[in-house]
Amino acid sequence: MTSDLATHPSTALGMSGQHGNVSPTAPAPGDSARAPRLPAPRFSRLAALFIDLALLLLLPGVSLAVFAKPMARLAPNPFSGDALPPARWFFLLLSIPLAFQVAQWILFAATGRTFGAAIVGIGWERPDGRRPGILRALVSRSLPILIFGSALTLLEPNSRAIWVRAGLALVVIGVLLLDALGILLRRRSMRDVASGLFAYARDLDKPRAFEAPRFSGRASAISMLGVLGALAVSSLVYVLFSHFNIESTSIDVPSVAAGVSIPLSLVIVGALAAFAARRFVVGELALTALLTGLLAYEAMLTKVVAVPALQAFEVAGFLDWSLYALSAYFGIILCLILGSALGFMVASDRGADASTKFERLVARRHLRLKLAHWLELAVIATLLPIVIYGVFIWPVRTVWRLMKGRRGAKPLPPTVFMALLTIVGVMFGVTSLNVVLGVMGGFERDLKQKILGTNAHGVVHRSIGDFDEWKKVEAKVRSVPGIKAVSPFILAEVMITTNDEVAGSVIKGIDPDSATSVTDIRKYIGKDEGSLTYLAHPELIPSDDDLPQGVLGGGTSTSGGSGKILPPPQPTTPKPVLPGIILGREMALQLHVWVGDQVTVMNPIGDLGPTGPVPRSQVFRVAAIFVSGMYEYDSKYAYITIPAAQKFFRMGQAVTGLEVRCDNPDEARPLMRQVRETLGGFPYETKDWGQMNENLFSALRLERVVMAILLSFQVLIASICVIATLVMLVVEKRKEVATLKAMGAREGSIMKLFVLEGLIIGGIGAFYGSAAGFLFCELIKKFGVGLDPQVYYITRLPVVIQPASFVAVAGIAMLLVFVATLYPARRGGSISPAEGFREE
Amino acid sequence: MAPMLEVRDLAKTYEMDGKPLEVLKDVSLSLDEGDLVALVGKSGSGKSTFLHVVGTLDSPTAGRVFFGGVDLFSRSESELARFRNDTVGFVFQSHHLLPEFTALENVMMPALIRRASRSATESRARELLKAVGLGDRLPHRPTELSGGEQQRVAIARALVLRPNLLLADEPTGNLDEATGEEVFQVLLELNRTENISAIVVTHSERLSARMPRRMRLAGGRLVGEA
Repeated sequence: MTSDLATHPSTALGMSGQHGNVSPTAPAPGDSARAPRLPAPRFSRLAALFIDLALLLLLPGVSLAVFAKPMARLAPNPFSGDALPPARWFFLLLSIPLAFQVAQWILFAATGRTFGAAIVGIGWERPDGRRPGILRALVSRSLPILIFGSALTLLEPNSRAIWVRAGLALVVIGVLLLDALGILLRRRSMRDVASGLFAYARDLDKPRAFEAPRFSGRASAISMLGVLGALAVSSLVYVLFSHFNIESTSIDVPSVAAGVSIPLSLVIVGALAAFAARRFVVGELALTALLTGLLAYEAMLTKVVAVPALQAFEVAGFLDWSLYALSAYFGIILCLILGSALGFMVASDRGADASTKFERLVARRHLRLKLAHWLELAVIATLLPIVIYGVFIWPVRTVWRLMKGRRGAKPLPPTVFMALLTIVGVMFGVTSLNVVLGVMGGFERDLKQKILGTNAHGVVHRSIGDFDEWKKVEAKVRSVPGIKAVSPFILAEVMITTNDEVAGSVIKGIDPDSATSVTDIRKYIGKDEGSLTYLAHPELIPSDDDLPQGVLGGGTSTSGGSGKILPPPQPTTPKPVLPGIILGREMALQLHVWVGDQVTVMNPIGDLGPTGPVPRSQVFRVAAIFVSGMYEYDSKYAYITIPAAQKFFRMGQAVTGLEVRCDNPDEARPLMRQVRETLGGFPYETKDWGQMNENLFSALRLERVVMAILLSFQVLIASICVIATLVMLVVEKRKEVATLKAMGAREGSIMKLFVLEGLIIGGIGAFYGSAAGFLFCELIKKFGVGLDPQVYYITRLPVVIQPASFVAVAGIAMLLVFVATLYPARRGGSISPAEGFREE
Repeated sequence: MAPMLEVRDLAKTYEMDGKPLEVLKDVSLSLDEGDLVALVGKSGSGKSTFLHVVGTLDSPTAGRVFFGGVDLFSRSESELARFRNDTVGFVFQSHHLLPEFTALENVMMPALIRRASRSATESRARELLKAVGLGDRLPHRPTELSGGEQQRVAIARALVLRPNLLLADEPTGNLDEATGEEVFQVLLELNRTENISAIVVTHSERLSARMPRRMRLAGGRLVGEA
């Protein structure tokens, strides 16, 4: 055995330096032969200080916020001419107790009744050790500030919050000066004061085993300051990231970095607080949460006060705002608690102990986990082609087999059975979340593809006036780097009629040559459904009469009733050639027309005739039929050439706008912004594809978020199962916990152990849930689920498998499970050994 | 030199149906390195509670326990945990072996809690199990061992980290005479070779008679060296 395991009693506790102090042969003062009972938990002086400081920060603000509104109504400004006389009296009356308080401070400091500290609040510990009346302390410290704060608001009722803050800062500084004055009057040196303060800080909050935990001022201070610090850190991160100009087009890097830094730093703060108190500092965190909540509330109220419109409360957005605030608040609390759990588990008496070696061993054994089981499960989950088997039959069979036990061994305890069920629960949650998110993502991707196919990535408009100079603008837009192609277009709403059918339509004039480089329109025209070239050369459109001719391979051409006999290469007709039009297939079906047929396009805004407006109409020939797959487009859109459109709509040389294709559609937004800047802004306007279809995408995204939230509840329920399982496990293992503690396992270690057990359960569930979700998605992809295209635009349920979303789902599941483990793990950790053994 | 272990005016009171039940009253004791103490007394005389308190598994209602000059109950929970891990070896009346683990793993557990390396620990644990005559039962679970074997595993476990203080609660209580004698010999041997101090609670007058110091607890009081 190595020598590191052999220890000497004197070094066993790592405190040999203190032998002299607590040696039994030299009892410390007050250490009577018959030692008194262990002292009852004492309200820490540092905690009193902390509360005092917090009050100093909070109360004035709250009082300000509460009283400022009615006061401001009472008196806009007591010092200005229009102030109401009663208000001035009111203010004067308020200053009297303030003056009394100031006098009291000076008196206290001078007579030595306060400790003479340089920080307000410490004075409440008297030198004779008598406990000061906390209530009295609170009232007499906060009242003047409350009054003073109110007075300040009276002075500046319409000031911004910064004035209020400045006033408060002045109050604090004033109080500090008063205390300093007290010190001077008592002829105490600053060194005394400093050493006194140091003594306070040094020996406070020292935890003792078997004592009720004392309120830890240190932990409270750390967490309180930490929360403020976290906010500061996030601003710092924001500034830093903005400064270094790390640019990405899809995300706002500084905001995201700042957003991430808050929970991270909060977790660290929680860990530090737990580390300082060597405890899972729930009480202190609760206090911090309460105070931060008050602070936030105060900030909110002061904001309301500061805004001239005091009715902000009634503004519709208030509810939203408070919901955001509330969730942010709970987020803060959650991060703190997570951090403190981590901190407590890691805090050992000799620094940090993050190892989970033996805890893992015990946890695995408690859950009867073996490598062989793992492999078996992995093989089942990954190789079996039928997910149903993995989801339904496998757990039942495995549980059944494990329940029966093998080779004469004892059957598994019920907790292991529960753990298995919990795994299945987590698995279900993760699976469904993954599948739903996959389908939703698929919808979005599909829609995006379709929209990008038929639409350009962006458009350039002219907000007023005719867009005559588009050729110049086109050249400019084309010069912007990142722009692939530009094409002019005309857009108008028309009616398209045949002999007996009518359809409303959006007609789009395009330049057939450049339009194909902007949209996928050429791809959407089927083989036997005409051609885009017919649009520019309508004389090439085969007519009904041409077709049999082609099929018969000869004969006479009777096209246009000309009666001339000509060789096929020249299918011209003496009749004026009708311009071509391309229709969507749904519209073509509705109008009962096909390539070569004639349709009449009517412009409802026509010429002004003697009897009022007369719709203008023109006959077109169907040049091609397109199918984009988007029902909306296929039933609505029709394409003609730009010259035809300009002629039909009498637009002269103008167009509606320019369509733009970018190299990367995901960067369309910043690129279009850039285009707009290049064009010099007004009167030119740009829009990207996202903005053009804002409603659709935002609806889809909302749906996705709501579904994710709803399905997260499933995972939440599963994590409640984790709680139940672990509580049972803790009860079952009481004696073993006591044994482990007798062998020297820390409380934090035991907590670690149970948290690990929960995480193993959740981890397996999340793993198989992800695997099953993946398989489900693959199956949907492979075999497809039919959809009514008239409702869903698309014919099949689309699925997209995004690794990031799988990771996020698993992460959320693990986080929820982790939170769920905390309570039972804490309970497991706090089982006292004696108690655990007594159970039998 | 100050004694290694000093128990001063120890009292322990339980609350039973609202009435205080005094289990220990004014127990004082000091123990030097290498001392071997037999603690005898009737059932319910507070022997086990005394061991629990000295081993910091339970807190005293009054009084103090000093180890190496340090007031144990002024320390934090994790410091006490380390103290138990480093310094104390427990042998419980009912073994308290971890049922999910093999004999070998049970013996290794205190070292694993200390984050000692597995390989070094394993050789020590094997050695110890061999010493208590269980060299061939290493992979067996506690349920597959007899009472005596379990007790011997528990002793090996208590000794794996070479504690300074062994607290044994009826280590031979469940054993037949021959096995009990063997276990007792192991204890004496350890006391002699490694200078381990031990407080051994026992019913057996025959065994206690062979120990250098004997204490008797009666009604929660130490009634002197018996």
